[in-house]
Amino acid sequence: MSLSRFLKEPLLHFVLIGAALFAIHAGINPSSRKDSEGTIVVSAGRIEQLAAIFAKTWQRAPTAEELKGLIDDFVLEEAYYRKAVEMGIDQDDTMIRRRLRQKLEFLTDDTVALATPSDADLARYLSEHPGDFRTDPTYTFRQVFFNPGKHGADPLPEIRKRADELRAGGEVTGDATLLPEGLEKATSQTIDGTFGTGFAQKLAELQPGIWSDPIPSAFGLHLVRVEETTPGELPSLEKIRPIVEREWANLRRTEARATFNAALLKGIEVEVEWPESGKAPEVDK
Amino acid sequence: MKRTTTIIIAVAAVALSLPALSQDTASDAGTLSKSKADQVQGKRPYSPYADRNFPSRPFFGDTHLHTGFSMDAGAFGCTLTPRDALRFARGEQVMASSNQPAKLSRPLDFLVVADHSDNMGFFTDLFAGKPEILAHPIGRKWYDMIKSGKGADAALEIIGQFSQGTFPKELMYLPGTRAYKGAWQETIQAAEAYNEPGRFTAFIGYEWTSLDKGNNLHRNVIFRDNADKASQIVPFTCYPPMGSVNPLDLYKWMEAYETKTGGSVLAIAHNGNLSNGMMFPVVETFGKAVDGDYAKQRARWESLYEVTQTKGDGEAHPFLSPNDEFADFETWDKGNLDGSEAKTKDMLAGDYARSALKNGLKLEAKLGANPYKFGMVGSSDAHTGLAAMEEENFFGKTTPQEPSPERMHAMFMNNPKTGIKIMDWEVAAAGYAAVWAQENTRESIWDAMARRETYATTGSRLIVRFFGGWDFDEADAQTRNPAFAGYAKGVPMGGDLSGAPAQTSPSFLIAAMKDPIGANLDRIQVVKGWLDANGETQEKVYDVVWSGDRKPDANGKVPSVGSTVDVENATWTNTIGAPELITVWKDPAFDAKLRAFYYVRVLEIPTPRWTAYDAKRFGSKPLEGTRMTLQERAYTSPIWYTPEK
Repeated sequence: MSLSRFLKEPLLHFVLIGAALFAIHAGINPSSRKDSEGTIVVSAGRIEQLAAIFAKTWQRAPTAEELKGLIDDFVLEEAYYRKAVEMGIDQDDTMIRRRLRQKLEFLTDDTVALATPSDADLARYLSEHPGDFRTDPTYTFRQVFFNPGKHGADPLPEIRKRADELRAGGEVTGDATLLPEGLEKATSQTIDGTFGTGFAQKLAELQPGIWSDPIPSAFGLHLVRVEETTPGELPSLEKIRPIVEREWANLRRTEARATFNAALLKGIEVEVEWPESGKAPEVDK
Repeated sequence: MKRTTTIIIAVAAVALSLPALSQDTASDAGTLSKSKADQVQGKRPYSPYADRNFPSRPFFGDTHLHTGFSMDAGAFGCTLTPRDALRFARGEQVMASSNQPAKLSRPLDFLVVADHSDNMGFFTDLFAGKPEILAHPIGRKWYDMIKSGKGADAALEIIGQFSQGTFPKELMYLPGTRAYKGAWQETIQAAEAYNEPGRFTAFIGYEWTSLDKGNNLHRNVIFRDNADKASQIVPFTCYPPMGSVNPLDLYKWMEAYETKTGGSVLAIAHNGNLSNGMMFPVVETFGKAVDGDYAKQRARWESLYEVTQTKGDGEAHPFLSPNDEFADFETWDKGNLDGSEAKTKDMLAGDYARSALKNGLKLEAKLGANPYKFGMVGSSDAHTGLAAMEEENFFGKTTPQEPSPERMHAMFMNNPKTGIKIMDWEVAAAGYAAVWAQENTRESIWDAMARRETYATTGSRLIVRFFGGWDFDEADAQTRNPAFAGYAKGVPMGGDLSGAPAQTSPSFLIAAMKDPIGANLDRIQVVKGWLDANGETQEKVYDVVWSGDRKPDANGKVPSVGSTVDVENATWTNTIGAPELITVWKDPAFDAKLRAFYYVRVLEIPTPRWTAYDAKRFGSKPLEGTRMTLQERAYTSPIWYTPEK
């Protein structure tokens, strides 16, 4: 069976890795004391653990019978684990190797989670990455929609007339649409996400307070009146502390991973045995 | 004549006459009388924004995304974590596991990282800074190293001590709190870190991956709650003795969680198409009869069904719906999840959503409760940490299927015993969940899911409104904001109708708007299912509004919209179809004595499938039979009609 085929056998790898991993977990698990060959010791700590997981799953303590079931299953799992290791099937398995790598990565990532940044750390991060935290400009506007298919071959003259009516203080009802009659304090992302790419840019060019000439969107033509715009700003640290902290931690996580990678390889001699020329695998140019 | 329309509580019109009850979820607790509705309608204030607390836009998200924390995803090579997945969904650029940059065209509004609960367990909480650790000199030293930013060095030291067997015994303790602690806690913490009410919702969730004899019974479990409640429990698993593959046991777990914490949780099943008839049983399940208790439990905990995703579309099957020319869409019907058992035709009725909705009516008549009263969502089930489901920006189902010249030729699954073979090109770039919630928060979106005010899309972000009532008329489709009439005179998708006035058929206000950066719309259809006078289930698909001046044929079917797709260049134009469609439709064959449901299917005009973009960008030659175009679509939750007793 090819590796890729094997990788795509969901059942197989669920079962296999499941067994191996539980075993590995158990192997490093502190609460089971060292067993001698031919003996499986289920320590008090282990029993406590099994009971606690049950309680956490079911929000109640296990019955005596359930607890016995958990212990029996643990014993069986341990026996499987030993047999599997004895047979060597934990070796050279891509999935197990990846899972183990992942567990170590998890460990390094975890170390970052605990580090608590000072205000100075965060202030520095904020000043070094202002672009990540600057709020977008927003627009509050109203719009009247015209479906071009409903106003003859050249809808523009009629729509311009409607614009004049609006500017004179009149009420104009547009065509039926699911588009909102306006948006309040919307960012360009929201505006483009609603009216189609480029619509926010058109709003930015309008003079606030005055009904516009017809503006095209992904849906049709619009008369728009921008009521209010707010410029983007860089909020103070106290306003966005949790977000800055999250971003700071994210960078730290990436750095920790890199440091760990380098440290891991330090002192390891790496020998890459390239195939002799002629036998080399094809390299994409 | 008593004239009532059951209406969901959180809806605007009702909010005027009833106290706000946004905390009250999942129940349709209000009754809107005709006179009350008229009163509400007449009183619209000048400001279009005032008094409008019905949902004004749908929120788009993915309720089913795996990261490297899932055993199989990690094995496939996915290195992304829940945090990476959340960053990506929020619109940031991230490096995919295949080491290529990835970014969404637009951010999603919400995400559920739903990693498999089985084997989620990871390392221990060695670094949580517990007093016991700090009391030990070495523990203290490591803790300080971590705190002062030398975490990687500390980790190396710890690993060194582990491997040499010199790890301090005193630090190896804490029985009982280990399993899941690492991965589950980190899943929760990641969701907490990226959840920003009003801007982006990160739900806490997981997948319960029940597989019975290779048949897919998976459910995603989604918490309404924050970390304080979710961390009181560990996810339910499938392996006995702790876990079980029987959904009834999952419901028990859900009940235990709610009772103990006062929290709320719901489950969404998926891939009935790979369950070989087991997803929607009508006779028995796990050796027990499908009875009233099963029906009540299932309806209570499973308000939604994931009807479309990467492993195929599950709305309808051409064998079950031979008169529906659009039923054969991204169909995966060769066998069960692992290909260990081939599909036979008699299994299909237990696999697909439409037949389940129909059988639900039948079971309700028999048992007094409808187990399959579910709404619809789409989601990805991607195992890449990347909820990238647009055809032109598809990052595959698993890491080996991230964009590469090879993915159009690779094999997804091959079971030589049964001869079931699925190619990677068959994987669908689908889908997303659209939720009509008032606010982008955990509570608001979850509540909308619980009341089924949702629809599924196959990856596009088209907008669909669907209301049912007794007196919608043409004028309602001409108003500037149809939602006012929709909520005032009827119930939205997911709702219930009852108490039909004499000689009156239900009418439906239906509207759809194309994805602002996507393709025009071909047509809107209503799918009606009902239980006839002989107790047999029936279905019919109606074309109710379409683009252009096409004329329906003798059978009422509207001819094809045509196609502008240039497969070779992977392009299309919006020169056919319509950006918006709206209509009021009345059921022409209504019988007030018969149970029925109605849902809406919206079709876009044909566009290039992801395979066409791959062929163009990589120059890969498609294998014979590869589909290169598709009609993206949306499926709304049904509106049910139940005769009064």
